[in-house]
Amino acid sequence: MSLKTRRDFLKSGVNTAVALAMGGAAGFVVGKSGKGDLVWQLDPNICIQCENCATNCVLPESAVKCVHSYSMCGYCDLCSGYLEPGAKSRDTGAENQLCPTGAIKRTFIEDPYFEYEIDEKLCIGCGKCIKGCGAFGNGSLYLQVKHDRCVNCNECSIARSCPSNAFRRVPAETPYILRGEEADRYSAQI
Amino acid sequence: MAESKNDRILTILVIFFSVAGMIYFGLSAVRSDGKKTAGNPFHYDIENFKKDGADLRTYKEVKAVPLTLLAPHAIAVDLRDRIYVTSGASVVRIDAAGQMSVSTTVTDEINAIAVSADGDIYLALRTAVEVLDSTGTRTASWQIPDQAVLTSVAVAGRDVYLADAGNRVVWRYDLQGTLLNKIGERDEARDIVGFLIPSPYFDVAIDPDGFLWAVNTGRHQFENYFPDGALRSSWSNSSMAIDGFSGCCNPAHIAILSDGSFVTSEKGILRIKVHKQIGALEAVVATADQFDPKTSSLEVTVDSRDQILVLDPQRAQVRIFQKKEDPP
Amino acid sequence: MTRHLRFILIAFAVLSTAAAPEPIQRFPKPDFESGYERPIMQTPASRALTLEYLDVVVLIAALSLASYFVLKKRSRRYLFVLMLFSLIYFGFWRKGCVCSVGSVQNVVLAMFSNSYAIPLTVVAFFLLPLVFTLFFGRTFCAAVCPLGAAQDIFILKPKSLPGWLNETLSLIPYLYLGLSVLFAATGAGFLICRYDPFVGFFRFGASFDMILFGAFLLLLGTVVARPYCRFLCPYGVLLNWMSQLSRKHLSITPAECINCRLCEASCPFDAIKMPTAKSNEKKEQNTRRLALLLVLTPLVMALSGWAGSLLHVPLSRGHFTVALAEEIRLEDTGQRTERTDETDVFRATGKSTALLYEEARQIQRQFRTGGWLLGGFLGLIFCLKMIKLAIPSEQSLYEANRGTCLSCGRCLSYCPVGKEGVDVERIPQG
Repeated sequence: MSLKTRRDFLKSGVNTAVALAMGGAAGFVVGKSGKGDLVWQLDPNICIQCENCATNCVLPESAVKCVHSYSMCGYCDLCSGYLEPGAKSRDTGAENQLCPTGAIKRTFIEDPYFEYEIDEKLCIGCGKCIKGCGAFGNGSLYLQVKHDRCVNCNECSIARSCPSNAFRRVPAETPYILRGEEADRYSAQI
Repeated sequence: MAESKNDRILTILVIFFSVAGMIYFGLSAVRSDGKKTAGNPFHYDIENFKKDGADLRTYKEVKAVPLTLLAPHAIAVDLRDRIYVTSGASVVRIDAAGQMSVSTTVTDEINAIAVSADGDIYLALRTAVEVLDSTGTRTASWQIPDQAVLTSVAVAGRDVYLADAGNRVVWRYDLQGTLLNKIGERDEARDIVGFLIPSPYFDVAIDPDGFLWAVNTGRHQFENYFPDGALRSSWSNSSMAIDGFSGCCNPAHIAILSDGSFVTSEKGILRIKVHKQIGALEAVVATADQFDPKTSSLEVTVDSRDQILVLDPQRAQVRIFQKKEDPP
Repeated sequence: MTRHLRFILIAFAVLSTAAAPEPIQRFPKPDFESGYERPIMQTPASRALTLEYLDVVVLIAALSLASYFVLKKRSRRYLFVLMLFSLIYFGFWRKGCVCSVGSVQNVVLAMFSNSYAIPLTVVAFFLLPLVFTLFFGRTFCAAVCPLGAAQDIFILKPKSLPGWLNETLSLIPYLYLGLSVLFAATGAGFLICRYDPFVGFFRFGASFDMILFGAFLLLLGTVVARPYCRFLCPYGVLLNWMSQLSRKHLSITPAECINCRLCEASCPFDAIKMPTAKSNEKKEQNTRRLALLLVLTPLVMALSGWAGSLLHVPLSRGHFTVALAEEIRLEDTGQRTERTDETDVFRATGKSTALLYEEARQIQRQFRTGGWLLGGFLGLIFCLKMIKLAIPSEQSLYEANRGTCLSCGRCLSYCPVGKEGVDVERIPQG
């Protein structure tokens, strides 16, 4: 047997051994794997509205948006998520609005109720309204990663900068952490 | 030959330039990693509100009675200034020396408590009322119809008033549990706007003249009723400023001092104030910076010396406040 | 009644899981007399699992095609088209996530963490390129990896690097791999993803620093071909190992090499092994040097392992808990007066600092063990490289360096040898 073929033989042996070892390693990892995919979501109960979501997403327009659990909303006239503190009047005037982009739409329903709706195209996920709603109101406004926008980075850059560790990987089939009846309806859907 | 020399220089320049750029921005990326970008334009500092009114405080904390209860919920004081505190389905009485004298447990979680002039204890459960005598023995109990969520109870003479956040009315019963009438349903003919209760906070209290006051929290309004349900008077003040009430539903709790002015306790930004009977701000008792973070809401009551008793569920204490100029 | 009971239960569930400020379950709801109905919150679904599986299918197809183009078709043109497709599909369409390079960390995290259930697709992205490389060489690098593709199209005037520089720089990926594994294993984060220079281009957005880092890397790539692949890519380390053992591999010539030297300058990656002059060193001298190196190896490993373990304190600061514990300590000892969001949140939870310090210490211990392993690993790699250089190679023909060859197929067209024989026309005169 010449040197060359001997080396080839050895190499092929090692090759097979490595292939087998990789099969074993694969089996081990697959044993630890879950069936579905994982996506990023933030837990609104841990979120402190630090405003990082608006600026730290890798996307030019953050995938984190404000959502509204209507079932928890008080439909208040004096909405602390909508109105600037010390607003001169309770109306839709830009100077009275807390939202820096005017992304909350206020609609009169009937005395004394007003509906508040998030215009997702305008919302930048800064969480200013959420601070207002959570501090004085029912906490019906909160942030969520919107999965039609999120590109699901392997390491979420907002999660990395989140001071309260509110981000975690959740199963892709249930990618939201909701509040109120919306949470109920959502889990019933799934 | 000259061309290849130029080529070489160009190559070296490109390598040098790009490596320098990589090192500069690479290090900068590592350094700025995970750090907040400076000067956030959206910053909304609600911490400032927590200090609101601190300079107007004319009350001081004179005592904090520690409670050995988990998550105390409701508080009342009797004519002899003994303190009653509920926790879950239990009620305890604490005398002036801090001694626990009566401890009774009822069937369900207690939402509110009141003590009559005779020393009988009225407990509002979610859908029922339990009456105990001063030794803690049950003497009466009755159910509230419909989808009741009782949030407050007050006793005036021979009447028991029950605030019901589920039906958004105040029920008037006699001491034995006979329903007399409903108060506060929307009635334009009698100028009653109806209670707007966006969260389970809905308090009632009795003024020195024996009339009922109920807080229409969603409208930040105080409403005063005759026993038959006719509106006697009302005032409201919605405002983010210190002299008003803000948020979805405030004040969450009230008590009435001997001169008829109101002790008000707000949730959200926690604060306790005193308002004159016609609504004007009279004094600031305590502001948010005096309470621990995560404190949910503070029930208040007053004793015979017009001291203000605040139930602090986070610290499990009854904190007693007194006017600064008053003698201890 | 039951409706209310349900409310109570929900309210209880919400309240009991909530941190401050507690959300209040709206109760009772406003009665709308105008017939208003509450809108329904929109919760768009995440990407369908079938599409994730489609990615794996595309990966398999691309790997198969790349291997076919390299080994059978021997066509750079086909490879180039496939490479562009991969750049568009895995890069711009799938936004570069998840890629095989980053999947190393997911696999490591899955091994060390009990709570992380690694998705099967990620396992596939990790394993498939390795398996294909074990059989066919680094065809993944040639035409499937979007990071490689992004750099490949910028190769304009590739220059050959001096051998010593090439060898030295190619040690960096081992360091990068080691650090990434250490960070992933301790749960400190995914370094490879954090400092991925090209993913910003794929998503049209990233931090300013990383975009510019990537831009300068591409600029460097015009003269130093595929700098990330050769001198940074941590996954390349694994591919290099697999490729050295591969069953089949790209061969520059389809038949017998005639040492015509035509392919000599064709490789932009300096991955062609050239025939070496017969060494006139004495065999004895060689053996002695080799023996010395072999003796030194454990020493070097121990020394570098020790050096690695010394770094456990600064390295462990990359972990959230350790960084938090450090800030808390600074504040508690009065060395810093300004509180951060992180420390505020921690203090609001009411967790004891002693517990936090203990957690941080435990993570630091992990980093110390990891530092030993990392240092030892790097020492070993360094010694192996020296040993390899010490063994005189007996190269008589032009051959691809199996480890570093990216199977890009550029050299193929330079070879005048056809399957049937030498194409004399293509040998330059003189």
